[in-house]
Amino acid sequence: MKPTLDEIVPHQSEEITGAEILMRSLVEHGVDVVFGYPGGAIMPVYDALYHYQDRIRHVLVRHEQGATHAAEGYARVTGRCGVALATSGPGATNLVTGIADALMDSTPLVCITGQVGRALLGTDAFQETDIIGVTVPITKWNYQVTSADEIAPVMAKAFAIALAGRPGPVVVDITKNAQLEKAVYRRSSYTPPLRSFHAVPAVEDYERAAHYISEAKRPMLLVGRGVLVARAQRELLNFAEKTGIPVALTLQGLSAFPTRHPLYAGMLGMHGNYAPNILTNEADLLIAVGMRFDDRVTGNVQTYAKRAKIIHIDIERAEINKLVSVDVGLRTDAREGLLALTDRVSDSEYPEWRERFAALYEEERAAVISHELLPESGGLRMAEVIHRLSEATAGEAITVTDVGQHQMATARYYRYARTDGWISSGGLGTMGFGIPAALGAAIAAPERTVLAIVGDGGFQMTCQELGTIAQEKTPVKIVIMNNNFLGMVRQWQELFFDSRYSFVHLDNPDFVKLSEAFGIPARRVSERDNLDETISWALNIEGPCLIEVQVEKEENVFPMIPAGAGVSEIRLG
Amino acid sequence: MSASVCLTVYSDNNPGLLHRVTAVFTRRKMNIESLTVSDTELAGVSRYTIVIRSDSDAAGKIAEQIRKIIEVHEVVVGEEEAMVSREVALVKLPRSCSAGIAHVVSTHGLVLVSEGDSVVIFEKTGSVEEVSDALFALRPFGIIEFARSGRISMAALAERWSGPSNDTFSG
Ligand SMILES: Cc1ncc(C[n+]2csc(CCOP(=O)(O)OP(=O)(O)O)c2C)c(N)n1
Repeated sequence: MKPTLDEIVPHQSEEITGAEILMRSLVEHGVDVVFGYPGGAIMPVYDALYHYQDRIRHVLVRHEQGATHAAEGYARVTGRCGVALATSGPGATNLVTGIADALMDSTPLVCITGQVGRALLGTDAFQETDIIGVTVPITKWNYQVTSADEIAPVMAKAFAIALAGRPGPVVVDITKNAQLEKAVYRRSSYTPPLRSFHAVPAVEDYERAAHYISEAKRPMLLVGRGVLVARAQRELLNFAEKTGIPVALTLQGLSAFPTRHPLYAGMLGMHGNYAPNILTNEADLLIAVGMRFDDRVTGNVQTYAKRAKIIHIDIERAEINKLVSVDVGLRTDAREGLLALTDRVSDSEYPEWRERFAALYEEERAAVISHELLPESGGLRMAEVIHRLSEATAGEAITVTDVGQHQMATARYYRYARTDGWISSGGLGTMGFGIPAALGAAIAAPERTVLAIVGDGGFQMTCQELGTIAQEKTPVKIVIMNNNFLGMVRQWQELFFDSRYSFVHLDNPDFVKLSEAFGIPARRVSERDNLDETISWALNIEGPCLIEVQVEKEENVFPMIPAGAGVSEIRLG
Repeated sequence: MSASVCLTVYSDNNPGLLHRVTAVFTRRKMNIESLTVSDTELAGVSRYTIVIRSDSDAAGKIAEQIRKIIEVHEVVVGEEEAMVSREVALVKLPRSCSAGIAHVVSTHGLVLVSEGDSVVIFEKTGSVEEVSDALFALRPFGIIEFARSGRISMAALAERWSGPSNDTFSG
């Protein structure tokens, strides 16, 4: 159906309901998918949505937490805002985990919640929760709308704020009367003040940085999610290739640099690679780009990188000097920062320094990797499953993980050929993220293979979203690494609590039957010999499917920096 | 190490912002010694005067966190010595005490602001120490109740924050 002229250019004086104003605002801001769940206080909005089905796809999740994670998955693939819709009270509070997750991982979300009518605010009305109060510490911005004429300008502000500078979640709470009352729709735009979001570092700072780079003998790049957010993968590649500086990635920076590139130095942090962790403390220069020196990356910060000068590029002023004092802080977007530095540096190579990385990699390979990838006996190991998946998809898939050992196995063993393949809950470490986030990612990128790699524990936190995946026929390929344990917690209990396994064993349902009950074809694999065949079944089947991989029950992820230890105390076993 | 530090926050005048500003402190388990909010010479701009005990490094980091709040325009961190601060106190005393109080009233510059049948109320304006001294001097007269405003502060320098930037985000 072609939209009418009135729909394209509405009469300026025409009064429409607040709910319809919201629809027009969503369309105007380029929203084509919303993830949501209806209820009393948001019903006028759902009624308006009914008339906008041709322009806005609504995905009915099975729990509002799923809406936020799906919106995160969608946002991480597209770089645009993910949108989640929920009713007041329990609908709104169910969004909380996803909102907190999005804040930690700088994911742009616009969450729209219904609220009781203005006259009932503060009276403990049915399903009234002060969601603005609840979400103050976990949003970039939030606002309660109580009249229809506020909706368009507030939505414009919400989208602008969610995306500007360092992205993050916003909540717009709309009272029921505001959804029902009428007002004139006016196109709105909002430009956040420059002060909060944009900065141009001083030329002297760039020059000082370039000088440090020219003097360095043992430099290393530490790259985080800021490079993915700024879509600066190409600029990173150019900078690294020009300078010959090895590139280490944080967990959330994964895939920003191709895994097979000769300058790739591996992953930083607690379960990262041996070489980049050890060499952080030998480097004489660290160039940190779009990363925030998370405690899982630095280990004990008192002993962190004491020999190095540090250059830090970050769009968020508050991140510079927050945990680690730096020598040059360049407050800017990763792309602009890398471009400006690339112009100021000359070609170089660090053959001896790179030898150190190669030698330590060999140690890690001998002690850990070879056994993980090619075990001679025992059950299937997560690492070999990831390796086979990586080979079968040629490193081209989007991997969406949950949280735990399987997440670290994916991070360590999937070899990203494309520079946008990693989606995971890093900052908050939210179990239950994987399945709904994969749903959102697959809706955003129908042409890509999307693998949801989850543990048996985390899967059961949001497995009701199999219903959504089936209903939407979203071709997510789900891989459950079933070890009948909350594996990562069990590993800590084994290593740091004398193997006292306190409530980490899981008696699981039959995952294959469960999946089939949702109408999603499924297979189980436990034999090494059947692994490739099962993977190729999954990749070739049309639509969603699920593989339950029965893996070794008590495997541990190594290397590991024990909690509280320094990066150079990383253990190989 | 730890001294009184005054943060002056300039923000839009929005409901809910106070919660967001104070949440920055609560989350870090920092005690606010005094907080006042007022309007300013700039239309629509509020001014928060927040006094905390902190070393300057931690205060600088707190200021950065407050700057992240969308409606906050600027945060200025002032060391106590560089600031002029004033506080107001109201003190209620029994009327019967008035006899011997004249001396205290004149040495501390108290102003009589209310005179009832049985009670009187004095106002004291001054630096935090002056207000404390006045209250101390009044104790023997049987203070019935007192209220202190919390301080407002201003940098002694000529420069001041010049108002919200008109430049806008371009990326
Ligand atoms: C919502 C939530 N609750 C608890 C945790 C703590 N936690 C981290 S990893 C983990 C175990 C995950 O087990 P499973 O999903 O089976 O994955 P595995 O480690 O075995 O791969 C737990 C409980 C968490 N990260 N998130």
